[in-house]
Amino acid sequence: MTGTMLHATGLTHGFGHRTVLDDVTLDGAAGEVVAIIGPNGAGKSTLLAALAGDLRPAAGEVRLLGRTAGEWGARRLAGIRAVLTQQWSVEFPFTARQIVEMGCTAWSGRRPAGGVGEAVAAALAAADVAHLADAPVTAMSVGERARVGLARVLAQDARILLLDEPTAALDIRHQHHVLAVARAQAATGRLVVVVLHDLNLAAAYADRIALMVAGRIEALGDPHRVLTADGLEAAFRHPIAVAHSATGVVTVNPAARSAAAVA
Amino acid sequence: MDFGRRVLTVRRRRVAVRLEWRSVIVCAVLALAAAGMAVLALMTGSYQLSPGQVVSALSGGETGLVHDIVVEWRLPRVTAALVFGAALGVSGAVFQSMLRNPLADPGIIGFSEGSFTGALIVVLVVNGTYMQLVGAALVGGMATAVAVYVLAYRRGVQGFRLIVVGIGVSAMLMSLNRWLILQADLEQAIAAAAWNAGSLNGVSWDQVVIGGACVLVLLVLAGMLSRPMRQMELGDDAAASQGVRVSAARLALVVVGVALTATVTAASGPIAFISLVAPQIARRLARTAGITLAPAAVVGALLCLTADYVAQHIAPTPLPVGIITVMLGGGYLGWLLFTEARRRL
Repeated sequence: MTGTMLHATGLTHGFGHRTVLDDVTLDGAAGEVVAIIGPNGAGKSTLLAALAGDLRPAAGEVRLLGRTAGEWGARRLAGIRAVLTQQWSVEFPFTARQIVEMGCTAWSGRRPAGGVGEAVAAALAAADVAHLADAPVTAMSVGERARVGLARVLAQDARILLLDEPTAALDIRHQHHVLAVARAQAATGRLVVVVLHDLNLAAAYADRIALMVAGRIEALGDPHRVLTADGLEAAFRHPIAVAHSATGVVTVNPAARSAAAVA
Repeated sequence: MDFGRRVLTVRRRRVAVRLEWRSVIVCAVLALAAAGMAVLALMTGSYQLSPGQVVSALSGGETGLVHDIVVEWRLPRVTAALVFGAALGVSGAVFQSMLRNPLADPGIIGFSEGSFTGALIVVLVVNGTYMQLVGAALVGGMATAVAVYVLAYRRGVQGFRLIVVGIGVSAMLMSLNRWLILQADLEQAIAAAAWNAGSLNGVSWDQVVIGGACVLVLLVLAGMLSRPMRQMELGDDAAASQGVRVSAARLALVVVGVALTATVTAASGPIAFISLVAPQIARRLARTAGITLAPAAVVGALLCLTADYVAQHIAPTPLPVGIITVMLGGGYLGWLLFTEARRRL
C-alpha cells in the first residue's frame, strides 16, 4: 500500500489581486501523515480546500485516487475523502451522535459493515467524545465541538483525511490524542493531510512536512530536513531554535520576544 | 441510564429513513386536531350543522342542502386552508433551514413585496381583472426572487448574502409600494390592500384542485431535498465534505420554497406569518434539533385552518385570514424573542 493517493500539480489560485497559491505541487501516499505548516495567510487552508476538491483552483489539477473531483462527482467523492474545516459553526442544537450519523450515512450510499450505530459509537469513542454523545453541540466548548467534528470525519470512513487545524482549540492531552488518531488512521492505509500551527506536533507526528510561505511550498520532506532554524526563521520572521534529541525527535523552540520589540 | 433516542427505522431499498418517535406522535396528534378543526369549520356558519351531519355528508350519506353546504360551499375553503397552510409551513421550513435563521421566510428573498408591487401595478396602471392581478403578483414575486438570487450570486450563493440582499431589495420595493398606493385613488388602494391581506373568501373547487396538485408535487420535491437540507444545517463546508452539491441544492430549495408560496399567493393572496411561525412551533413541539418538514406542514395546516375559522366566525366582523395569522404570528414572535432573550441571561 505505497500507492500515491493524492496528486496535486501546479496549483495556482488567487482571491482578487492576491495570489494565495503559487504553483504548488504535492503528493500523498497511503499510510502517510503529511503536515502543512506556515505563517498565517500562507495559503494552507486554501491548499487544503483545493486538495479536497471543494475549491477549483485557477490553474493546476488535483487527482484523488487517480481522478479529479469532477470525475468522481460530489457523492462518490464523499466516500473518497473527508474534510474537517477550520471553523464549523452549527446553529441548530444537533446532538454529537446526530452529527456523526450524518457523516456516517454520507452520500456514498454505502452502509458500514457493523451497522450505522456501531460505526457512530466507534467514531465518537475514537475522538474521545463518547461521553458527549447526547449533548447538543450548541452547548459544547470550542474544543469539544472540534472533536465532534473529528468524529464526524472519522465516521465518513474515507481513505483520504484532510484536517484543517484540528488541534487549534484543544488542550495538550487532546492535541496529542487527535494526532495519535491521525497516525492510527494512516496505519490502516489511509492518507492524512493535516494543517498544523504547532511545529512540535508536526515534528512529532508527521512523516513529511510541507512548509508554506506566501502561497509556495518552500520546503517539503521529513521533519529533519524541513524544520531547520534558518528555514523557519525566514518563514515565520521570528527567531527559532531547533534541537535534535538523541531519539531522533526534532523540537522547535521559538524565542520569547521582549515587550520592547512591539512597543 | 440512557437507552439512546428511540427511533423508528423504515428500510426502503438501501436507504434507511429514520423517524423520531416524538415527531411521529406530534404529527399524528396535530393531524387529529386538524381533522377535528375541519369538522368544526364544516359545522359552523349561518346554517349550523351537527358533527353527525358533517360526517355523513363527507361520506356521501346526505343529499340536498346539507350536501351542498358541506361539500360544495364549506369544504373547498377548509381544504384550501389545510393544503395552503401546509405549503406555507414547508416553505418557511425550507427557508429557515437553508438560511440557518429562525426568522427567515420566503419574504426574505423579496417575494412578498415583489408580488404586492406586481398587484399594485395591475390595479393602478391597467385597472385589470382579478386574474391579471394574480398573474402580475406572481410575475412580480418571482422576478424579485430571481433578482435577489442573482444579486447575491458570487461563485455560489451564501445564505448570509441572500438575507442582506433580500432585505435591501424588499425595503426598496416597500417604499415603491407605498408610493404606488399614494398615487392610487381610494377604491383602487382598498382593492390592492384587501388582496395583500390574503383571504380564503371565494376559494372554489377549481382553485383548490389546481393549487392542491401543485402543492402536492412541490411537497414531494421538498421531501426529496430534505436530506441535503439537513446536511447543510451543519454548514456548507461540512455538507460539501459529505457529498452535497451545496450550490445546486440551495438553488433547488429556493425554487421549491418560492414556488410553494407562489402557489398559495395565486389562490388566496399572501397569507402572512404561517411560513415564519409554523416551522418554529413544530420544532419546539417535536423537539427536533434541526428544521423538519412534516411537523412544519401539519402545524401550518392546523394554524391556517384555525386562523381562518377565527377570522370568519369569532372575530366581530369577518376578517381576511391574513390579518389573524399576523396577529397570531406577531404574538408568537414576541414570545419567541422574549423567551430566547431570557434564556441567554
